[in-house]
Amino acid sequence: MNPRATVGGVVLIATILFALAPLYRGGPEPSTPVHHLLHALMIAGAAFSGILFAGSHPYGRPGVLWLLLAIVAPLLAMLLMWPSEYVYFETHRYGHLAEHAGLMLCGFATGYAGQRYANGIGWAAGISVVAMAILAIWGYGVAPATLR
Amino acid sequence: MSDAAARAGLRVMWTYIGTGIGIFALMLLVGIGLRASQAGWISVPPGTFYSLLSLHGIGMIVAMAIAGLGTLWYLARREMELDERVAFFAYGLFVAGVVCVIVAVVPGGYGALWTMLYPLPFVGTTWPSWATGTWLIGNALVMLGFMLWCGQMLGALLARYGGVRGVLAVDYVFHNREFTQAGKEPPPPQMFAAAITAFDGFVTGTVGLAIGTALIVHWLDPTVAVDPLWAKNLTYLFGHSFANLTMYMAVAGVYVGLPLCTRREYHTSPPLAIAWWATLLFVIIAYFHHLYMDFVQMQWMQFVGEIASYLAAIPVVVVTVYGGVMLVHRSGLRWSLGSMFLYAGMIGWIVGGIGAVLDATIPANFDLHNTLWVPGHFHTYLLEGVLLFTLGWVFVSLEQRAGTTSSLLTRWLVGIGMFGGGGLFLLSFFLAGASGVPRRYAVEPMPGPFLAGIATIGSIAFLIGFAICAMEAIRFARMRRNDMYA
Repeated sequence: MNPRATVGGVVLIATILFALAPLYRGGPEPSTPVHHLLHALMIAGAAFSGILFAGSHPYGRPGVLWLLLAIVAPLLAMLLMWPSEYVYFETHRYGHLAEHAGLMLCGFATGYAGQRYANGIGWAAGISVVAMAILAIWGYGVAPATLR
Repeated sequence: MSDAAARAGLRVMWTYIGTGIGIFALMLLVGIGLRASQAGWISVPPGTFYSLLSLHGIGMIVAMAIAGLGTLWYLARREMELDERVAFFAYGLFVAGVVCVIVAVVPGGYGALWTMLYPLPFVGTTWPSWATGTWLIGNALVMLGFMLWCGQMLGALLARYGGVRGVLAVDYVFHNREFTQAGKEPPPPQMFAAAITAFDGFVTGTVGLAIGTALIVHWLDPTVAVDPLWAKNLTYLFGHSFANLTMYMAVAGVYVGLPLCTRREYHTSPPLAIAWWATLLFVIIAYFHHLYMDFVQMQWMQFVGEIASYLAAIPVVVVTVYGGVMLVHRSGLRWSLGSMFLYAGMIGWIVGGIGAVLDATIPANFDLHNTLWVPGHFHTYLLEGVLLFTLGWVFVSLEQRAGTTSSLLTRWLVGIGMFGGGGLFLLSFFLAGASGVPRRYAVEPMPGPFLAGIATIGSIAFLIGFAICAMEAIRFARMRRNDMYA
């Protein structure tokens, strides 16, 4: 295994351990903005490891589906971050784990597929999916108290 | 490039441009109807008016974007490897998005426009919920297509020029002597347009999909709250940037088309590269000027918005137009529809740009905010800028292929209709805006209806000029190949 893939593996394992939090973490679920932030970290770790695993690939014609996957996966991640689901997951820890697995899969797919398409696109798409998750902190399922 | 590859490239370009211009023509008819209704010349019920206004707004911006993306894709492909399958896949998403939007408006009656402010389009609506969902999904499909296009362009640019430094000509600017002595060449001007569209398009698409997904989720599950100020920031970052990028797509036609007409080279220079860097950075944050009236917005953002509005527009306009004028000066240019459109488009870009930065100036915005001044500037920018650049490139290509140009009479008729009629149409917007007539009103206070009547006359003249221009384009396209500039 090359050094890049080794680092990718370490990052992925660390992210998986982080994503397993619902199994060993007690107490009430965090608020929606904190939840979004934690999910953003998870997605960032998965996307970064995906980029590292993909390695360096020259730009070529046969990669249309890689590009499509890199563009669609962030959208699926945003759908998985559907805030009202958090209430359900407070009482279903394995469901919560499945959601984390889905988010990690989307993050990994974004970074890996982007980089497989062309060098640099993994980074662009990876930043895009993490940016979406971070943007969500301020408004996706979050509203000023007066409007709730 | 092989003949088959060249033909495939042309197929992509003409498919995009044909679709864009076709949608534009339909939306032009809708727009004339809307102004005639505001003038009181025809009767359109307010609900129908807002539905048609929604269709006209998004239809025009998507039409110009599709035409611009096709032009830019073709011009970029002359410099590097691009896969037409991706271009056609993105095109399919655009068409699917347009169909969704039409369905949302025509049977659905959606009428909250495309830069709607949350809690619109969910409260106080007169249309069914499915129309809102179809509209939002249509917008998301267009954005996905745009992201796909940008992803392909970005990947190809990074590969062709060896990373971001090469794409943006950083070494060419900062180490010019070494760069030149090493025999290296910076990207040609049209590749800066491609790069800025791809970079900023990726950012715009990301934000558009973030707010789009949040709104779609809210539509499916109304218990999911959305912060109104957050929604407005994201909506305008996406909307303002996307609309601005249509110009940067189309301007590539000037960089390639004008040199063909003048037989001179439009080469990259350090000022041109730096001007495009300014656009790259500031076009994304210029949107803050849409939120001057939002007292809850942080104050520093308002000042950033004003400064960024100037810095996004002025450097690239000044450098590009100065370069264009120098190209034409004493070149012995033969005036044709192609060169006329490209040259007049630069004037439209300047006038629309001045209208925009005036409105983005905080003291002026107190008077002009949400008046007809706003559609005045973006109609100028789109109609007499983006459209003319696109038509300019279309006609330069057709004239070059056919080996001929239009008669003087045809050029005068097109000029009177599209520049004279267009000018009359646009002037009425600016005058109404300066008089404080609000935008997006089916029934306007005086002097709105009077000026809408003048605008209708101008827009009908524009339509006649455009129809003559379309017939001329078809005539050229049917002629046998006889290269004029070869």
